[in-house]
Amino acid sequence: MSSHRSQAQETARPLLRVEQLSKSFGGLMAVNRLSFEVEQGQVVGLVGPNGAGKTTVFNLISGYYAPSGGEIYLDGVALAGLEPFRIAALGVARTFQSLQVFGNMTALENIMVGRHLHSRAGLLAAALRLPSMRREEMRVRQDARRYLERAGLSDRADELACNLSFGEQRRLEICRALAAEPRLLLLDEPGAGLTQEEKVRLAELILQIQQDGVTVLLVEHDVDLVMGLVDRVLVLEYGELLAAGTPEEVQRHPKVIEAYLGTQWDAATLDAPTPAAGPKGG
Amino acid sequence: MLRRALARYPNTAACLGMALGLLILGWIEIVQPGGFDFSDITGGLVTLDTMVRIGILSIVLVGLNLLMGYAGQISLGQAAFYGMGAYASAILTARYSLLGIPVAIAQSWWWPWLAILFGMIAAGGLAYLIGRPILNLRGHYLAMATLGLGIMFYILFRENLGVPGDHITGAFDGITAVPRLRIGGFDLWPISRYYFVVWTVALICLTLALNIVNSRTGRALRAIHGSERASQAAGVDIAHHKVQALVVSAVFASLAGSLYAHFQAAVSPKPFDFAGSLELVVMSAVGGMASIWGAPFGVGVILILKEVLRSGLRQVLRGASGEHEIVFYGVLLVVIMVFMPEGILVWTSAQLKELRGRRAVLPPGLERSP
Ligand SMILES: Nc1ncnc2c1ncn2[C@@H]1O[C@H](COP(=O)(O)OP(=O)(O)OP(=O)(O)O)[C@@H](O)[C@H]1O
Ligand SMILES: [Mg+2]
Repeated sequence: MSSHRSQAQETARPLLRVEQLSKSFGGLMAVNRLSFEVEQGQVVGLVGPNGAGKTTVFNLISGYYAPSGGEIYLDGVALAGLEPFRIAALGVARTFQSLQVFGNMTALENIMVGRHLHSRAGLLAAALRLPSMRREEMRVRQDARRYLERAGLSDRADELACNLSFGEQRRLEICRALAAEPRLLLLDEPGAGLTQEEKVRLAELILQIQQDGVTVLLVEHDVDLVMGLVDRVLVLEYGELLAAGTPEEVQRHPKVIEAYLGTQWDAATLDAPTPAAGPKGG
Repeated sequence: MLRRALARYPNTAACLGMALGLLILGWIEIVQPGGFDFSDITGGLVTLDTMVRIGILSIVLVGLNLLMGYAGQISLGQAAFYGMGAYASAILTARYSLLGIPVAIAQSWWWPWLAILFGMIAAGGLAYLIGRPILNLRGHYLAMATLGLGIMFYILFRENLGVPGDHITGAFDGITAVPRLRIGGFDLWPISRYYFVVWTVALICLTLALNIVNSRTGRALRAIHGSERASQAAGVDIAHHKVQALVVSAVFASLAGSLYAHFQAAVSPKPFDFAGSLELVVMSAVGGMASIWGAPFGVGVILILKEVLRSGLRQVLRGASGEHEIVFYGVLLVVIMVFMPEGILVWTSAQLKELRGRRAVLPPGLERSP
């Protein structure tokens, strides 16, 4: 096992390695002996029908569920069993399928919470407003403004997050995750509920994130959006890996065609670059 | 210039404003301009004694609001920590011979201050020991644990800490002859002096709490309130921050308890029973849990209401006892939660805003509270 690991590290060195991962809820195997790797710097799509186990995989990687079996390695470090905030500190950030912004805080404060791991002022320093704490506070605020600008929300900085539009909240949530400067970013259906125009913006944002060297694992039902963005696709069904490969490979995969009967995964969507596919359309 | 600065630092401005108001009240009491003293002006309703009580309980409430309003954890036994401070001070300063403390030390001016510190450390330590395992769990386990703690401490105070006899806590009658505080040779008594001491401490605690709220820690606490899952994803150690809030609230409560012991010059178990803890929760709800500024208002409203009721209710319900009090608090809590769930302060300012239209603003500091 350990020799296997060191070997893998010497060669391609995947950022994320999932091995024989399982999660059962009572009798239901939501994730079943799932193994895959995600290479550093890639955007990888995780797709599959409703209930396939995509969100469960995210919850396992980020520590919200303890696996029933298997292991997860982030750059060789075993994640299974760690608490979510520790996994976050190791460089995994995520968004949620059910939007989770801090509605009781302003947009800027939301991002400042995203900088939590990059600041350290403790209770005493805060209570006494020590100079070190005040300097850090100013820095956090400045950093947060930068991320807010990236989300295109500079003019909404002091608005309570619950008053932002749905699309704005989605972008805010992504940029809050980015503010943690993660190595691996897990996006759970970031396009859900967005207008076509907002999806284009989202695609641009994700590509920008990739250019910054962040590895992205993306769950998304919008096939156009996924296929235009990702380097690789993992297809999940009943908690098992149905197929994996480049978008082209996956769409030609007999099992995938069989499973989806070509309805959604029409080859036509591949050839005609959609607006959502953006700069990487071809 | 000054106005701009005050608008920029609303909390500082409000603190200064409050300090000024309190100074004026104290000045009235001491100088008695035109022969009026404090209670004359308020028609006998608010005496300096009431003001000192409000100050002392505000210290407890500031900590409790941090815990309940920001960390989202209910404490049904805050009176236990309050009582710990009171009894620590009373025992160490009035029953020192039991502990073998030499008279020379026990009667020095700094000994009571050391006792206060001891109480704070003990209460904070206990809060940590309880909070660490419990706050790792989700749900209202802390409410249950503190409920148990409150009942336990009340019985310990009443039953001489479980030791036969009544030589330590004085059982039902409590401990008398607790000395007043001094600094060097300077007595912090009579009450007009103690008033300034208590309110200085209260304003310091208020400032410390406001600083905590407007910091990384405070943001983490509010984020936990907004979404536990998302705050964890941002790397926030939920249990750690909740424990910190609990410890701060316990330390503040103990400090207030000590100030209370030296104010009354005596302690007895009664204020630290379940009704006492419940009263604190009601005060918190009335003032507005999620607002540090709500603390003195919640205390003020309840204490003054109690004064009114003591004269009024007793006549209506002859023989009104502690149980009537609990019923009264229960009803009040329901009414507050139904009609002004954010507390009187936020509710009032919202009403004012509506009345005065756009021109009016929230009282300083409020706009920052969630
Ligand atoms: N906490 C849980 N308790 C019990 N069952 C669960 C739990 N979480 C997920 N499941 C079940 O596990 C299976 C996989 O769910 P999951 O949410 O991972 O699917 P998904 O691929 O994200 O679906 P969707 O596209 O609808 O978001 C489903 O059958 C779901 O009902
Ligand atoms: Mg899902």
